[in-house]
Amino acid sequence: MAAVTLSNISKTYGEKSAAKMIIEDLNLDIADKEFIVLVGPSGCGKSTLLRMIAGLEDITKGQISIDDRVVNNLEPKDRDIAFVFQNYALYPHMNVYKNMAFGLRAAKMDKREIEYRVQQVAAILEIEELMFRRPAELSGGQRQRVAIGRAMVRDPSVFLFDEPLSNLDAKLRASMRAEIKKLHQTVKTTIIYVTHDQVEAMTLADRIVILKDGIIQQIGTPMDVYNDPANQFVAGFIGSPEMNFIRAPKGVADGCITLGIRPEDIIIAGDAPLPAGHKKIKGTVTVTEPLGAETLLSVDYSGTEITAKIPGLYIANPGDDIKLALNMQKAFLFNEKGERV
Amino acid sequence: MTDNKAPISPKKIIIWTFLFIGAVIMMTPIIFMFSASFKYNDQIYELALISSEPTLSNYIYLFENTEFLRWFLNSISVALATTISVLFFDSLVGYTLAKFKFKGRKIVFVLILSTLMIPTEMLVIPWYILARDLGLLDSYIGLIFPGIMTGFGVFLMKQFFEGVPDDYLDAARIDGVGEFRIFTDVAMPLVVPALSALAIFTFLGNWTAFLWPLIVTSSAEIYTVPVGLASFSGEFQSEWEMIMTGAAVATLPTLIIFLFLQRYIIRGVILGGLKG
Ligand SMILES: Nc1ncnc2c1ncn2[C@@H]1O[C@H](COP(=O)(O)OP(=O)(O)OP(=O)(O)O)[C@@H](O)[C@H]1O
Ligand SMILES: [Mg+2]
Repeated sequence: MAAVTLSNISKTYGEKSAAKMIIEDLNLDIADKEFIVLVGPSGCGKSTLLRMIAGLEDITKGQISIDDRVVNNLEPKDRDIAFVFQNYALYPHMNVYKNMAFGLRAAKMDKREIEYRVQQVAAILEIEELMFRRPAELSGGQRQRVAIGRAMVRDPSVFLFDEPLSNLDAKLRASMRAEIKKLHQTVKTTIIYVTHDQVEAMTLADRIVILKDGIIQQIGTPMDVYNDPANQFVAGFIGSPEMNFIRAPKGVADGCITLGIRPEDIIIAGDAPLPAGHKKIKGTVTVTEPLGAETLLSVDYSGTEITAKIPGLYIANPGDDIKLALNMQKAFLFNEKGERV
Repeated sequence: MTDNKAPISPKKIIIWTFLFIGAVIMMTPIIFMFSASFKYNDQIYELALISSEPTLSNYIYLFENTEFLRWFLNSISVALATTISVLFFDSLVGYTLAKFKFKGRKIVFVLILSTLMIPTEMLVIPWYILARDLGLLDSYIGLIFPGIMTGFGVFLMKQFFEGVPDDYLDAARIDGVGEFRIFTDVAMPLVVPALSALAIFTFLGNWTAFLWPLIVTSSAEIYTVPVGLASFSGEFQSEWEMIMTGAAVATLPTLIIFLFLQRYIIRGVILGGLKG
């Protein structure tokens, strides 16, 4: 049982006169055993928020409770949380075993109990053979496992992850992502996970929280935020490749000036009649990026670059004229403030 | 460039020449010190490195007929006590200045730094008055107290602690380790090279310190080696062979300390718990 509630959280850095607002009046209810992913561009306050939940950073205003217990003034160790750092922060002068046991020893836990817990976690993470190595003698992926292991031995009710995979290469990241997901299903604890990788967000999250300049833009399941983005920022942030934004033709909707369409909702307009609801546009090919299963096609459409995701291999030369069809049923309309119309 | 049998470049010849001259200048007095320690008093002014009749009598006399051993132990105790105290307090203050934000932090740091700009010669008078008023003249505590903390060490340790990533400390806070144990168990092991360097500087500085020990001590039992050796040099004649013998013995601990600690410095900073 560990629901986390953030009520009216604000955070400013600096003295009163030159105070910089980082988080502004933020409210968030996280259910027990939920996997929440915080995403947002660099500098939007994700780490700050996570560190406030952990107790590593003071809260300027508001209240944080874990399990109906207000933790504002509790030390990190008394909050029943564990934190996995982006750069792992394994103690360099201690071997893996000592790294994992350090917190338990500080808590004066019985020696045999410590050994038992470390062994168990090591077995789950398959790092048993690494016990007597130092962090410098581990690969990036192994360090990541040890960092997660150090969090797991604490047996916390909330895990906090701050971009845990961002230092790994793409392949390792994909496999660690799957393991973290598996881990969540095994240990069944609340997880708050920060990333700016939206693939991680989409694949891991029960709910995604999209943050910009310290303000929540949208909270929802991955499918919610993908299919029904609250505003232009969310629409552009979620989905890869990014959604295309073009100037909306006159008369589409009142006050609408921008039309957003995902690359996968654009097809090549051949000679055959278009499917219903499609709108034809003409452009010039600038780049083709064949990815194997699909081809990313960048097209210059009267000065705006549009990306289309075409299934299979599509061969075109830069400078070729091309006709595309936009699936208007899947298009999103925004006014000049970036709000949905 | 200079691999197999190619002529040595002129640049290297010049560099080596300067290094050689430097080495000769540095080594000559030390060689003469050792040489003189094996000579009788009347041979002291002969230039021969190895005297016609070398003798160990100076060494025997030094240990049997003077208080040298006492001074030697005094020096060791004073230098060790000061070094331990400096390592502890300087790193504690340096750590606090580097890792905690509090009002007046900058002012405290500037004040500590400014003590570096005052030469010992100016400080001995206030130290003396302080020692006199506290009744510490001619005592071990009087010998030690001016050196229990140094501005230089605080500065050095602060610089090194600033290089220790905050994430290590935060990780330990999450682990529930108390702040003092974070300092001793997490931060200190990461600055071992700096601690070794500081230990060497402090030990050597105190081992060779002369002015303050000379001023604060008056009875021979608490002389340090430099003060004791100076007492061999009388108003009418100087026992140079004894001074040289004592100085030769006095180089031993510095050599041992240096050989023991230098590998910690050379091994360099151990990092690697952060992303590689
Ligand atoms: N100690 C501090 N003092 C002043 N400003 C800070 C401090 N720590 C962070 N900030 C500012 O707070 C803002 C949010 O920082 P934060 O680290 O939370 O961003 P983030 O969303 O985690 O970014 P990233 O994705 O790059 O990690 C940034 O503008 C940063 O400059
Ligand atoms: Mg961050």
